[in-house]
Formats: sequence, C-alpha cells, structure tokens
Amino acid sequence: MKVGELTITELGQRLAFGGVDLHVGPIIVRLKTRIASLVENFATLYADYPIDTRTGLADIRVTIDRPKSLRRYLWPLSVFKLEGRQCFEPFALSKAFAMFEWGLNWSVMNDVHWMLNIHSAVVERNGFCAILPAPPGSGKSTLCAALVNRGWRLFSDEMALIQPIDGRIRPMPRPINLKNNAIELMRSYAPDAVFGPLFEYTQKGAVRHMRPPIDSVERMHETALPSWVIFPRYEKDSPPKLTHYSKAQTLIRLAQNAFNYSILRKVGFDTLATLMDRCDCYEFVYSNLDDAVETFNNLKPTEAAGAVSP
Amino acid sequence: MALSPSQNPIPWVAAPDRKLTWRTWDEAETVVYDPGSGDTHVLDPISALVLERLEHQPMTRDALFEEVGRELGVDVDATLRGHVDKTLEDFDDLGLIAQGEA
Amino acid sequence: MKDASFIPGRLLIDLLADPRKVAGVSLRDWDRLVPLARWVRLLGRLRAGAIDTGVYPDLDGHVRNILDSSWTVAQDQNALMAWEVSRVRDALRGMDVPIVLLKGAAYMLSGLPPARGRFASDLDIMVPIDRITEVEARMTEKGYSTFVHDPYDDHYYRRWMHELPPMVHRRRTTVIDVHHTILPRTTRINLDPRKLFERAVDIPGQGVKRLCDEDLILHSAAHLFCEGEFDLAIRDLCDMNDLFAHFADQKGFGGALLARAQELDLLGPLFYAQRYTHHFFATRHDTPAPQPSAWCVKLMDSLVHRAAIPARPNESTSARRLAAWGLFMRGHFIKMPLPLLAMHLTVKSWLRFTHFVQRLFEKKPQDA
Repeated sequence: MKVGELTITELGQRLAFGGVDLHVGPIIVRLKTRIASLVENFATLYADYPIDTRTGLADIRVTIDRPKSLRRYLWPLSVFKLEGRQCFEPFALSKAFAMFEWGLNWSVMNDVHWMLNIHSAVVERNGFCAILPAPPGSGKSTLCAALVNRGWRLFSDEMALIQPIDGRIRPMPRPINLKNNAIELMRSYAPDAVFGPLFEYTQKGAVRHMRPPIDSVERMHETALPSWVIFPRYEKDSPPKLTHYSKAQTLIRLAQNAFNYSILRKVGFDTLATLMDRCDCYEFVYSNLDDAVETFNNLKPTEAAGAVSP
Repeated sequence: MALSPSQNPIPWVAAPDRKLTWRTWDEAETVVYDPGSGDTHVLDPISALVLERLEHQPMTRDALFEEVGRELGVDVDATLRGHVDKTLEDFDDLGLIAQGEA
Repeated sequence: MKDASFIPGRLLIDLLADPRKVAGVSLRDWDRLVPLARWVRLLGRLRAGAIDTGVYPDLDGHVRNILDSSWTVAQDQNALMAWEVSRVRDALRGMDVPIVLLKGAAYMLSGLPPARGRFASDLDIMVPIDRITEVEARMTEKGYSTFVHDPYDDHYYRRWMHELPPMVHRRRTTVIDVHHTILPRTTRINLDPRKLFERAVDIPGQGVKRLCDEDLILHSAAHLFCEGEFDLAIRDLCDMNDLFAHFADQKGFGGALLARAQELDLLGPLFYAQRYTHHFFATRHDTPAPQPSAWCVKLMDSLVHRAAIPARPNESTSARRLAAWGLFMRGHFIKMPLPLLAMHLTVKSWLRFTHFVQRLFEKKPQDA
C-alpha cells in the first residue's frame, strides 16, 4: 500500500496512533505525529512511497509533536524525537516537515552504519551512478534536481550509501531539498514537478522540497555500481568545464565528507579505495543546467564499473 | 654536527605492532591507512618514501638522510635534512612511527 | 500495575542469560527490544552472543543490519581505546610508573569475555597516588589537557573523587579518567589502593597492567553497589556474570575471591554481585559471601529488582525512578560523610538551577 492510497483522514489517524512504517530505500522509518501541517505535507511529498505492514521492525523511530512544556503557549512549536529522545531545539510548528527531513538525515547518519554513508547526491543512468559530493552552497541539490528531471534516476540528494561487501550503492530517494534561488529556478526548469510548501526564514534560508519522480521511488530497491565521482561547483556565466581530479585527493575529500567513514575503520578505507579503482574522478564547473545535463549525458562509464568497451 | 638529546641516533620504526595499508593511484600520491589510530593519510612522494623505508626496517635519522638523498639523486644538505626531520616529527606526532624497541 | 517497559526489559535479560534465544525473537519483539538495548548499550553484546552461539546467520537480514551498525560503533570505540592506551603508555614511557587499566579497557586488551560488543567510551586508568602529580604533568606536556573548566567541578574531582578531572589529547577524542584508587576518597569503605597495585598483573605485550582476576570482579561490584550509578546496572551485572563464568574454571577461584573480598573490605558488594547475578542470570555461586543484615538485603532487593530491569527514560515508571533515586542516594551515602553529601547535592542543584534559569532566558527556539 502506498501513502497516496490513503485519504488524508486515514493517514492522519495512522500517523497519530501507532505511526506509519515507511520504506525509504534500505530502511524502514516509523513516523508518529499529530501535527496537521506535517500530515498534509507528508501526504504530498511521500505519496508514492510504500507503507510497510508486514515487517513490524523499524530502523528509525521518529515522533514529531508539540512540546508539553509551558512554552507551547508562547510559541507554536514542534519537537523532533528519535527513539523518544529530543535531539534538537524545537522548530516552529508550521515548519515541522522541514524538521522531519533534516531530522531523518540526522538519524540515518547516527544509527545506520552497515553501509558507508557519504554526504553527497547520487544519480544513476543506464545502470551507472554518479556521486556528487559537495559542500552546501555548491549547487549540488540543484544539479541533482535538474538531472532527475531529465532522465537520470534519483538515488539521493543528501547521502551516498555504499555497501562495503560489493561496493554497490543503495538508493534512498527522498524529497529534494531546494534552497533560496534554486527554488524558482527549478520551478521553471521542471514545471510539472510537485513541490511542497515554501518554508521561509529557516536556518538555511528559504527551503522548498521537490517530490522525487515516481520511477525513482518505485525502483528504490534497485542498486547500481558507481562510475563517476564529480565535485560540482556553480560559477556564474562559466561554460561547463570537466577536469580530471586526483584519486588520492578524491578519497580524502570523500572521507572528510562521510558521516561514518572513521567509524567503519578499515572497512571504510577499503570501500573508498575500491570506489576509487572503479570511478573516474572530476571537478565540474557549470552555470547553465542544460549544458550540465548534456555533459553528464556524455559521460562514458568506466570498465571497472562494468561497462563493456566498444 | 652535535647531536641534541632529541636527535640521538636511536632508530625510528614505523607502526611496529600493526600493518599499514597502502594505495597508490596514477603514481603520484599515496594514501595510507593506519589501523592503530584509524587515520587515513595522503603522502607526498618523499613522506611516502620515508614511511615505507621505516616500515621495512628500523633506521636512524642519519641513515634516512642518506637513503632519501640517494633515492632522489641529490646531496644531503640542510634543506633535505630539514624536510626529513619535519616529516619524522609529524609522523611521530601522529603515532605513525616510534623510536627504538622495534 | 501495568508497566509497558517490563516486557522488553525482561526479554533483554532473558537473551543476555541465554543468547541462543536470540534466534526465536520475532521482528515485532525486536522492534521493542532494539531501542532499549541501544539505550543501555547492550545491542553490540546481543550480536556477540548471537555470533558465539552460532545463531547469527539465521537472523533476519534487517535485524543483522541493525546489530551490525551497533557492533561497528562498539568496535570503533574499542579500537580507539586500544590506541589511546598505547598513546598513554608511550607518553609515560621512562617514568617507571605502573599503569593499571580498569573496566572496559582491561577487559578488551586482556581478551576477557565482557569485552565483546561492549561500548566503552572513556578510558579508565589507575596510577599510584604519590605519582599522580607527575603523571598529570607529563600528560599535559604530551598534549593532554583537562576539559573541566568549571572550578567547582575541578575541585570536586580532585578533592573528593578518586580521579583527576577527565583529560583528552588535543588530536584525539577519547576521554581519559586517571584514578588513584577504585573508590572515592570519601567512601566509608576502607580500601588501601596499594593492595590493588601489589597484585596487578601485566597484560602481555601491551606494557600496561590490569587488576588481578579477583579484583576485576570486586571492582565492578564496588562500582555498581557503592557508587549508585544504576543507569547501566544490567550491563555491569552482565560483565560480572561473564567474569564469574570465565574464572569459574580456575581451581579454588571462589575461595580466593571470598578471601580477597574480606581483605579489601568488599564482602558487601561481592554478596550483592553474587545475589543479583543469580537473580537475573541464574548463576550458581559455590562460595557465597556472608549476608549483610536482613533489612539491608531486603531494602536492596526492593530497589535492585526494580531498578536493574532496563528501561528507557520515557518508559520508566515512577516506581522504577524512585528505586533508581534510592540507589543513587544510597551510593552517595556510602561515598560521603553526611554534611558533605548535603553540600554536594546542594551546590550541584544550585548550579543546575542557575543554568536552567540562564537557558530559559538566553535560548530562543530556532526558527520561531
């Protein structure tokens, strides 16, 4: 059963009593909430996601509700709890969905260590993944959103989850988190995409979520091998420029951007080293999204990632 | 040159109680993983040479100067000594090498 | 009275007592067990039990992923701790001072059973009291520093506790507690740390020592039953249970343990360690320690039976919280003379209160 098959009332009741167990790629997330705006935004942005009714075992248990303290009478707030523990300062009640998204990232980062988790976007085409690690503000999410609206499959706009055992990447498609200028840009670039509400004045400025393409959600269990690591950087008026980048430096930058590289110890190192064997590494500067997509479409998969040489 | 106590000729040895993992791509930069500290280091060719020799066998600082000079085909001068000394100091601070008791 | 926390807590104890039962846990029971086991830091240990008894491969893949995640964190902490031990050893090289590892670090580097899947974040070491100033100076010189900046806390550690304020190296994250005995100076139990050093044994190949076999158990017991920190009681009981089982094969160990407890004035803690490992894990003890007065035991039973059943804070019942508070007060009572006890709690409460007030006025909720 998918989230979208429930009426908003049914969904609200489930979320309030017992919670909804949601398949998000390799993990099951249990969300409980009584906050009406969160139910509504969740219904929009997670409409295509399957609800788990058989497993009964969640990986991550999230409750978002109004605080019990007296402060609730001063400011309308929402509190994020992971397994019953409050993890962050409360958010404005109306921004509960934004908090759910950030909190979910944080929870995966904290508790899921059977895969190497690198802070980056991942997209896939013809069976090969491109990993796009980048600091916030580099245009990583924008580029990712553009690619998935032009035929690439969304794995994640936030984390590359790599299985140490075979080096394959697990998709964890989620709503794409667009910020500030990227919001209007994407609205005109992908007029048919579904967007959540605009959250203004958050810590990261204005934020708006884009619903992932249905194909990406339906194929959330289909893994793929990585073939490229590309560090994107938006630069005003720059033509698209792809330059080779050292593998040793790439490994270090990925390690620095990984959430659990150090915890995985040698397994983390071996996983990244294998990734380097398999991938071509680049820095990519761009300004125009169509040019960027074209550059990506012209990438040749590596033989080490399983491509057959012509 | 007079030896200060910190420069006495006790040999250095790399990671005496564990095995470092080395990876090199494109012949230029080397990455090494230390299972002791759990740290990953990128090494320039000279640092890599120093660490590799010390992993192979204990060597005094003077022997290292000679070795590095020979490998690079240059004279052992103050610049080279300074560079190797700095490298040894960094490695020591990171726990990658230890003195004596190999 | 219906207590929602009882079911997962009991299940967890059952599984610790007999890890083979892990294979029979349904996914829905795992769903209640995992948050609890994670909270009391025993998830890694459940995995170790499943591996040892050979049932791990039969577990559901989803369960294995969750256990593996926890195990990975525990392994990393253990490796970091082993590394820190080697760093401290090198830092103190040439001083000819015995470094005795305590608790988790000792179990791990000696390869003792409680180490498997154990989470241990802090490194506890013990050095003789007459060398502690030197040790602190050398460690400071080698890049360690204390991060207790609150003068009251600093004073409290040095004056009344059995340790220096926690230290950490500038490049690393492992917190080191340098002790000079195993119980606070203020405790009414009269324990001469020299006796602990006399019988401490070398850990082969590490250049450091640990307490002798008997003292390992007695330390764990004294820690649990005299210090009153009952949050992880079930973990501590589990450690002791493993040690009892491990040393049981040594001929005459029970008698030696009893004699040593008498010598160190720790018969009371040993009695309770035996009593509650028997209560929770059905472990048999052939050489029981003598029973303290009946009302003491009764009081202790009523507290421990409730407080040791693990529960997460939001699942605790008021009865459990009261029991835990009772044990905390009891711990403090043993630790300090009464006027001092009042002072410590008052100062702490006052500090906490002022922090609370500050927070109330300083912190505006984000995004509000």
